[in-house]
Amino acid sequence: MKRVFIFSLIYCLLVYIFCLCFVIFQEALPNLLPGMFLAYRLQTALLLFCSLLPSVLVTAYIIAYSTIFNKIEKKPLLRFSSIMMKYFKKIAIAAILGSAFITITNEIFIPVLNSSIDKMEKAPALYAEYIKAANNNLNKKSYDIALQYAEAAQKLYPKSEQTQIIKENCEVFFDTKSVSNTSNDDKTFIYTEESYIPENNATSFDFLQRAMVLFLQEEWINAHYYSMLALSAAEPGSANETDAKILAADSWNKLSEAKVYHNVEEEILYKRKTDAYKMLIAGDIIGSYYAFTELINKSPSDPDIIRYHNIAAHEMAKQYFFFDELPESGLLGSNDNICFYTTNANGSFYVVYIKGTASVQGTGKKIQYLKDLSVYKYTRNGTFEMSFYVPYAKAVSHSLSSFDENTRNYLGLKDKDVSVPLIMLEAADRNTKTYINKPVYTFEKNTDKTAEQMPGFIVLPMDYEDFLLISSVSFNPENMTLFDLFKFVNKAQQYGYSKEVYIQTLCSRIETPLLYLVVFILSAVLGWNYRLMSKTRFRLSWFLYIPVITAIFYCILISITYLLKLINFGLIEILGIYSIPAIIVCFILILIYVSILFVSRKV
Amino acid sequence: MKTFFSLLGVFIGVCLCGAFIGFCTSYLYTHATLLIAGQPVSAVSDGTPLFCFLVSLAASAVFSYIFLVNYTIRYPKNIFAHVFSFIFITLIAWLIVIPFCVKHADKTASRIIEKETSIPSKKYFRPDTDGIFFYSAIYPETNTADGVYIDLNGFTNSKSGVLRIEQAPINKNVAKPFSDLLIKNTLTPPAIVEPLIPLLQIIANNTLTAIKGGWKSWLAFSSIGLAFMSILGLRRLFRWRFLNSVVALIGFLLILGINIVYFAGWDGLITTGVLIPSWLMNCIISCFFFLIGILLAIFRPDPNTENNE
Repeated sequence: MKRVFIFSLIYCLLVYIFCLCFVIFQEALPNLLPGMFLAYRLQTALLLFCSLLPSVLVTAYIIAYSTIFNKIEKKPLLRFSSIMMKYFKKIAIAAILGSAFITITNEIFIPVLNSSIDKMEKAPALYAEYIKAANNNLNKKSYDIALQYAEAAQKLYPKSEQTQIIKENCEVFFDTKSVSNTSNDDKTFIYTEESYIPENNATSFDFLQRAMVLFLQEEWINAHYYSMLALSAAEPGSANETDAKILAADSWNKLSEAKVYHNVEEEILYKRKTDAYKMLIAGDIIGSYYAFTELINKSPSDPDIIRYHNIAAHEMAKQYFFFDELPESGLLGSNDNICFYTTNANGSFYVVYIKGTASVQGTGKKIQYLKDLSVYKYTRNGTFEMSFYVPYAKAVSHSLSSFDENTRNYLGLKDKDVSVPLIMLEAADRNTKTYINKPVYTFEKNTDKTAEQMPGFIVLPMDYEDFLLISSVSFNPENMTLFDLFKFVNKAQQYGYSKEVYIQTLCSRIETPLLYLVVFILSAVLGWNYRLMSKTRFRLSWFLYIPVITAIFYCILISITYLLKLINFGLIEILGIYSIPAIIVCFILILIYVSILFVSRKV
Repeated sequence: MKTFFSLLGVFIGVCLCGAFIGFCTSYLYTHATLLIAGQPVSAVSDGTPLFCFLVSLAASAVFSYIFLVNYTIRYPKNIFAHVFSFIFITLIAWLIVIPFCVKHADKTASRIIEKETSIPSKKYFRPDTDGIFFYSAIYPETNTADGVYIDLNGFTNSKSGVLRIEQAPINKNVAKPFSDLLIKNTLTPPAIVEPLIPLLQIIANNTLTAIKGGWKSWLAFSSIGLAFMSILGLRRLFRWRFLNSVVALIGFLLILGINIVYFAGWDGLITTGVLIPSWLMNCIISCFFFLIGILLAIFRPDPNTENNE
């Protein structure tokens, strides 16, 4: 069997060199970044070779077998002789190895090569966009964002001079050490269901005690806050509730009283603190958040300010996400073009289109940032209800059990253990009160709904895992991994994708190794039938005809795969998802038949 | 005698198998053209199965030559027996089988009603060349639909890239010959095959015209059968049987190719010059191959027989 492998190896190498020459002498290369030309050529040639690989291997196998069977000493005079059985073992191993190699090429090498070539082709345009964005941000003096873009551009083109210049400019104005030390955790505020109360499991009585202590210490703000906590935790009608109410009222009155200070600064600070706190209690989250942010920039070590700033930030993060959270360079480079629809319990459905997604490293996939999100809502009959568009959004994985009964019924998801995507649509600046980015709504003509009534988020009635899966689904199912394909096949129809097409792809992918097993064993049969005569040696001139043989087998294999696709569609119509086991059984029967065919060879 | 019957058996076997495979393929293909995502398939129109069967039978009678020559390579016997059997089979194929099939296929074709393309189903994303269609509701009475169009190439200049469509007319023929774009995207023939389909169509049309033109035109056309028969002369070209089979296949494809080029009218190369009638061209080719065969038979022992020791 060594001959088989040697022939295959030599022939593969020759064909690869031929592919390389073919690619080199082809028409002009697309626009690429400098330094990528060689890699591009090599990879394109390798891709071409991978598509020819099955026919190359089959040719090599047949020729090797013809010469091997020429030289055997004992000839099988009867059918099913032991000689052929012995050879069958070796042939089976060769067939399995050949088939495995082709399957690995199809499942791993070809997708990797395709995506790498795709990246190289898109790199120049992306690089230009990164440089442009970096320069824009440099002019606006947003040095950290400019640096982000410059680093992304440098990843694409490491020897670029432009990125060096931009980075140097950034370093002049900005200490890069402090940038790299700021972890992204600070910027990404992960929404958790636990409320940000320091003593989480404390009872109403504990809060009341604490409030009384603070009241005696004349810390009116803290006393009021803890008495409010005690009030919300108290049983209605209990003594704790009444006490808490009284204490809260007293603290509030003390807050509003004039106070004597040692200097003007302290007085101003206290007034601003109190105003900010009052805004927080009154529910003006935006006002209180920005007020506390200003305060914390002025006096960063005041424990009150720190505590209430955190509480205000927590409340703020429930409704808005911050512009600086966005992984801008990641989003710029992402063009996934994700689209799907999901249905609510009452039959109305959302059609969702997202141009690109990106996530920040370290958050796992529980947070995704979306670029150019459009959602269209339709009634059960397919008539338009409302739509909106927002340039940036943040999708968070949110457990279904944290929603109230009505929402859960509306979503129609019965499984309480599931997490759903909660998409936040409104974005604010972290430090200064500039503007809040809100979605642009369009409503159906005869409705009286307005944009102001809409909440700043949307909950999609689907599993968050499905949301992530759909991000990896492509309209060309050949590009999906087998694993993703398995997961997706049963759910395809509910998200707007054709079940038939995906089952067919799954069938084709499973058929490939089985088909080539059959083909390689058949090539052994052919090799036996056409073995060289005892005294004939392989002539050099015959090598010229080998490419012709490869071309013929290439056409035959392509026709067989197309025919199998047609058969798959026919079977899927009758059997649905069960066509997969049916096809596997058919192929096993064919495999048994060709094995018997080989073993029954005789002189 | 034995040779004659075994070759005849091969011919009949190839015709039937080929007809069966061809029938299944064309039936499945027709089925795929009617398939729409999410909906059960409507029945194939009357007369299609018979049409498919007859066309496949005629095609496999033509392609049987490859298998016949292959059989003579694997089981070489008396050369005269081979030649005699080939002549007999050619006569049967080209004077009886193929005219019968083509005539009746033509009659059946006129009975096949072109089914009206069905409207696509709603709630599926269908990628077209520049964007993706999604129909939320379809109104079959007015042939319109509501939904969205996702523009992937920026042609619509909308910021979000999504355009809402309301009561827009549905283009039923966008996926021709299929009914659904999604199926079409999966079943596009491979790049190698695509240019061949119109060429095969040309030969099919010419066959039909030749038959309808009476016996003389049909005899002239069936000179191609004579040319096919002559590939028997190539069976001794190499000392390796495998290459002999390959060269017989190449010879067959060459003759087919030359005839297609002749009927399709290649621009500027051969046919603008001297226009010889097709039967003369095929006779010349067959004489050429027969000559090779005769010379090889005289001057070289049959390399295919050495196996039988």
